[in-house]
Amino acid sequence: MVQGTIDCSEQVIKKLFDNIMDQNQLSVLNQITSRESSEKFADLITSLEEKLKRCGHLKKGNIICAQRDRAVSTIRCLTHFYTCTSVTFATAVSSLDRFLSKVKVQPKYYSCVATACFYLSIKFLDEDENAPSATQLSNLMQHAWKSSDLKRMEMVILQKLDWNLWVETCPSLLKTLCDIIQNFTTSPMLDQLIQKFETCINYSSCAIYSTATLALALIHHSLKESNLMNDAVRQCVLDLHNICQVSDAEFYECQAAVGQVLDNYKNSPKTHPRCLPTPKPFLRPNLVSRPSLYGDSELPAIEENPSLEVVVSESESDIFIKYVDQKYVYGGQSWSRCILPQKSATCSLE
Amino acid sequence: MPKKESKKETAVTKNKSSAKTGAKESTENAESEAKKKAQTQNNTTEHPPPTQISKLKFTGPPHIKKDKRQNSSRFNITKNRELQKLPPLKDATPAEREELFIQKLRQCCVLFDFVQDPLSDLKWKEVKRAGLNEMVEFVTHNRGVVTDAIYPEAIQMFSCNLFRALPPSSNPSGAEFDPEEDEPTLEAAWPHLQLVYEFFLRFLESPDFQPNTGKKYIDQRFVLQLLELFDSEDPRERDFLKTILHRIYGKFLGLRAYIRKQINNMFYRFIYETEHCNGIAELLEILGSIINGFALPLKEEHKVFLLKVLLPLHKAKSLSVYHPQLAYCVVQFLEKDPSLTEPVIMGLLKFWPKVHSPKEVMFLNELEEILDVIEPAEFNKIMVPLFKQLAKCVSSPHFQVAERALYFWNNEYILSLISDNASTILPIMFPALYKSKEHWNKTIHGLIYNALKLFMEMNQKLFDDCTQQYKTERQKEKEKNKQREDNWCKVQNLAMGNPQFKQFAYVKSEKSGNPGTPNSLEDLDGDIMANFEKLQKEASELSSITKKKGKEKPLLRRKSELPHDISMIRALESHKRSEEYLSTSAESQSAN
Repeated sequence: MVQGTIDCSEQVIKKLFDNIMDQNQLSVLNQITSRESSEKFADLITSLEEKLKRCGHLKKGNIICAQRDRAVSTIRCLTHFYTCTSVTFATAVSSLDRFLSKVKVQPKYYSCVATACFYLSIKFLDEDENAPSATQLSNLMQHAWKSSDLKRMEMVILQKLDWNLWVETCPSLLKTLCDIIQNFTTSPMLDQLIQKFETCINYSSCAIYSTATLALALIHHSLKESNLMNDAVRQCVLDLHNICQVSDAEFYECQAAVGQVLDNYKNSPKTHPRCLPTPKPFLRPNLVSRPSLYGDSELPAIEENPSLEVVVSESESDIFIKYVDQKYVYGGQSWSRCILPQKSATCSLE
Repeated sequence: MPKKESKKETAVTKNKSSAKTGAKESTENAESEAKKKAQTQNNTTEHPPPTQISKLKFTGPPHIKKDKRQNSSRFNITKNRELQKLPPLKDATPAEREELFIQKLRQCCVLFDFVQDPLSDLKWKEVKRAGLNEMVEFVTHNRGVVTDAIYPEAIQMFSCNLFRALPPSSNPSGAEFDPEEDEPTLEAAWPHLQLVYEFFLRFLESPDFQPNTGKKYIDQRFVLQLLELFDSEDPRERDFLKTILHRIYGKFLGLRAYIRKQINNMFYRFIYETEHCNGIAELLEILGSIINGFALPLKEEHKVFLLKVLLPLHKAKSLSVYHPQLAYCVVQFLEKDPSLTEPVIMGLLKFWPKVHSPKEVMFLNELEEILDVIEPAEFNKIMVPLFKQLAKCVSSPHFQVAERALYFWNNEYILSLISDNASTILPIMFPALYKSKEHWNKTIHGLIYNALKLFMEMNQKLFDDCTQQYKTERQKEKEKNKQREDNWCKVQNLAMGNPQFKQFAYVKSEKSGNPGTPNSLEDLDGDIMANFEKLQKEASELSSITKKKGKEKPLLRRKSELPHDISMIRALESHKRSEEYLSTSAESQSAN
């Protein structure tokens, strides 16, 4: 429908879309009303709308930079290390993005900013027992900054974000959307979707889009991958587009970006952005040593001269090795042949 | 009188256990003995003296002077020790010089006592010392003095001064020996011996020294006796021996194979029989210089030496004494022939210490050095078993071992090798690292984070897959444990249904599930309160049952009810106590 028209301006498309949606919305709901879960479905839709209101908003174009991607990698690493949920991760990233869109941060402070976002997020959303202390975090980052720095950074971030940490993130949106789609088809695996989300958000090319856009793009990708796209599902998804107020142009851009990122991830995982650089851990000199440095004596090397060495006949019986050493001087070179008994010939060291 | 004998024996045993020797001590002990003797005579005897219990195998004749620790078994001191001072060599005419030299050499064959009576024969000791000193200077600074006639004399002088039976060791051997704390017992006759060594070394190194002449006298027997001296406790002596043997190995090509064989024998004896030899480090230093000079391609003999001698040397408890030298030898071998890497590393893994943590740290140090020079092709062969061992080290309860293993991730070259083979290595290392995430030690905490971060950067997808797999495996494990618990509960319930249950009831401590790894908190979360209640219940049950059991007939007999060996009773009775004539319960029993 959209590809055919020449005039692709947003408003025209939206109008067309809205007209068709008005017609179809009823049909979709009609399909559902006969089922028992119609009430649940309505609940889901309302919760979705509420969540959408709480989503964070970003000023486009401010956050595209490589440092930001590395910062997100660091946050991801921390999330894995403290076994936090993906909601914690997403909140941290969202805080980071919103903060970066307001404030220009020098490269040397990036690790502190990233860790502070993570710290806020985990304190806010996760269990108290899981939460690390500021000193622990400083220790993990090899004391690039102190715990007092971290706490000050926390305050700065909170102020800049007007203490608004409670934003709706992609994973929770994805959950609601999956629940909705579940009514029409086997829902795409939520875990996989969240995994994909975590990958995509690492790249600023995907992060510039709104939460809803990204969520829908991911769902699209997932449905296509698992070949679940039938007409009913497609219709439902289009309905959702309308509810979430996602414009098509933006949606298609996002979808392209998501597709590229996920392809990249599968095919060349090494290109994934690295974490922010941290100082190397300090090695304790008592523990780490190069023993052979100390074992080097000042005795000069004695060159082996096999052609001049005399044949040694065995005068003692050796329990472990019995060998007859025969040397043949052959054209200046010496060939030694060793005949070892069964026991020591098989130097089998498992 | 038997009492006096036993007193002396106890005094003797006491002296034998003391490590220090010296003239002062001998006088002190003699005094204390005199006091003790006086004591025994003062106590009036009421009891008949009991039969002796000797802890020694044989008593020997009673003598006042006790057996002191010898640090030089100089039993064969020369009878006639009077030395006449000879005229100096530099004053002699060239014609007389050789004769005078020989005379001085023969004079130095006279042996003096430095142990029993250090102050004896001082004048003559000085003559010998001055003579030796002069000869050292003479040989060092003059050419043409090492003539054919000198060889037998010099070697004879060396042999009779140095080839002696070494005294038994005073230090503990094996793992208890701490090279930093246990002082070596130094050679008492060092003032002379040092000069003898010095002289012999100069003699060997003299530009006039002819191996062809020397080989008549420096033969296999000489070398064997020289090697036996390596067991000396005096490090200065071992240092000289090392240099001398090194020179002999270099100059006498005909003796090389024999020397190598005898050194091998010494190592075998050390590894498989005695685990005691003080000179392993020095021998390894010599071997290091020999290995350095190996011709390529390496002979089979040398490869066998590496695998059958050098690797098993890692087994010994006292590895810390000679580990630097051993590591040097191994690394030199691998630099000569990289194809030996696989058997070497497999050997190290085979001998990997299981309970000795400082040794494990030494192994890790050596391993890192080997990995520093390893070729990528060789690395591929051994990486699976190697990283399995590293995974065990990382999760070791000893934090130094874990720390040292984690420092491997600091090494750039090793990191590059790992990242090239991440798909194989990451699944092996991942569970160990992931499990120890909540480590109590903050250094290790940081290092594990570092290692996980590096793995994540190497291959994000693989990392995510591993995480997923780990989680599913943990889930499965939990389910399995739950299943097992349920099954046991079912069995319990079935048993309780049986009418004979009460008769055979034991207090069964209800297992509260798999406690999991020492560091994981997740498993205990849900069960903590439940455990507490169970514990309380258990405790109250136990206390009620033990009260019951006290009245029942015990299944075991008390040890005092078992029949005893009569000779043992008698032996115990006669045991000497500090308060001598108290009547013991044993005595009164035997009287009945």
